[in-house]
Amino acid sequence: MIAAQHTEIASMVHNGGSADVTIDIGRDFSQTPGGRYVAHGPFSGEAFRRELLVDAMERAIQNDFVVRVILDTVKRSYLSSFLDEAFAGLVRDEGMSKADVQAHLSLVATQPRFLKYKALAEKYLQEA
Amino acid sequence: MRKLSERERRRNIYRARKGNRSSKPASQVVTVFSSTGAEQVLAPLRTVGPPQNFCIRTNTTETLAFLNQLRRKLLNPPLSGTRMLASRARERGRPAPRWIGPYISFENIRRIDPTTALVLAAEYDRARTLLRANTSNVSRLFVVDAHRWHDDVFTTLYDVGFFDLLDIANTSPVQSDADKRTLRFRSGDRNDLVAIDELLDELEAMFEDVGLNADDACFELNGALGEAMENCVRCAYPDGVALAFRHIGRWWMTGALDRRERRMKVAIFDQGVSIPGSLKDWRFYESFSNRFLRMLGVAPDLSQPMFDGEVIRLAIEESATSTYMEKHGKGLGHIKAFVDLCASGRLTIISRNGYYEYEKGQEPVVRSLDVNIGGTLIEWDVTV
Repeated sequence: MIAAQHTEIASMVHNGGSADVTIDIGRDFSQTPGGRYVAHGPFSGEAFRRELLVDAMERAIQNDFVVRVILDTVKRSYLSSFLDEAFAGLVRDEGMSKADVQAHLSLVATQPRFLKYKALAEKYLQEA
Repeated sequence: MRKLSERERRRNIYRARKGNRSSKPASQVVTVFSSTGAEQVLAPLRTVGPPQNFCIRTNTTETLAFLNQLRRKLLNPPLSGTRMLASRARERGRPAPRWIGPYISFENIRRIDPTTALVLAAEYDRARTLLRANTSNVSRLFVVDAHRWHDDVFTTLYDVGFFDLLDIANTSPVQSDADKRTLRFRSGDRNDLVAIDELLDELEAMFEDVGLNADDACFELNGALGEAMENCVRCAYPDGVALAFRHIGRWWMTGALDRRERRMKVAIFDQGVSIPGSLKDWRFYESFSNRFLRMLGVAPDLSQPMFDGEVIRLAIEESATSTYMEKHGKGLGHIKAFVDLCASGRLTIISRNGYYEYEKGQEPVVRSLDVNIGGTLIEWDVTV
């Protein structure tokens, strides 16, 4: 149910199958993203990936558009385990190719204090 | 004359050796506060008490030794109850008072820091949870003569929520402008960033009250505290591992403000297998092991606590520097990195028998303790 709602929210900014999809973590998922696994607590990286990211990324790869994930709308900093599980998990656990993910995923952070979390997520993706 | 049995003979020898010592312990009247209210009871003069400086960081060995003693006592509480002291009842013409055995007295504590108060509260929380299974044990957790405790000690324990734990009172946090304030502890068994968010909100609000801005520190602390909580939830209570004391699989955390020194202190504690006790399942164990061998000249034996301090230090270094970052193991490095983001600060980790202290800009200080903390304690003490 939650996944369906999230996908719906994400899809609202998806225009006609060719424009980019935007997922705003603070708005569409949680102001307080959690740790790595669903089993360990709410708003985990695994939940974010499965409920919001996988579906959008599959469509993006299939239809050749970009999923923009806005990082800097959450209340405070991220846990490295959330970032790793959410983004590197696309390659490691969902079987997507690193090249596809890097070509169709754009992490967005404009506030200075979120830049390092963007860099961290990109690093984990690179190392996946 | 009847011949004494062997048992009677031995008893007579024992009594003769014991001499003139009274068989009755010297007793006193004390006030017990428990979930059933306040009550005057008879108690022996002999008590069990924490050190005057009840602080894990500055008086580590004595404080941990007491906490171990407390743990045993709480989980195996002495008998207490109503015993008809017939002679007293006859003398005074009223029912005999309840009595308690040698009790835990906080009367001599002169100083307690919020982190130690948190660990103390966690021990009572565990005992409360485990004893609750047997309803006749519920009122066995109590404190004695709380009205005689040092004011600062009472205030810190009150603020941290100690009295609520024992169902003595449903207290509300003190809204004071005191220089030092302690937040009510929070506890859970999941990686709960909402709980962290609420704690940090409270800390920020306390700083705002005194005209300070802790926004940047709390922003970064969220990640460090979350990593510590994640480690606890994932590694502290593995299935099938027996600990020295029964556990309830939880973490406890609190925060405190020192306005005069513009310092913020946040701590998280668990009663699990510890960092050295969980490293064998670590993804980086092999490279950690190589690093250990290189640095100390011996292969790590994690069952031995003598290297626990070094084990913590090297695990943090491994976590911070490893380039092979698949899945688990990133947390420890981030826990330390938070201190470097602050103007000044200190990270203290005590896990099993290991003590690790890192002051920003300095080399970490490590040592292995004679006593086991019974889990892992992480404390950040930073300038805002």
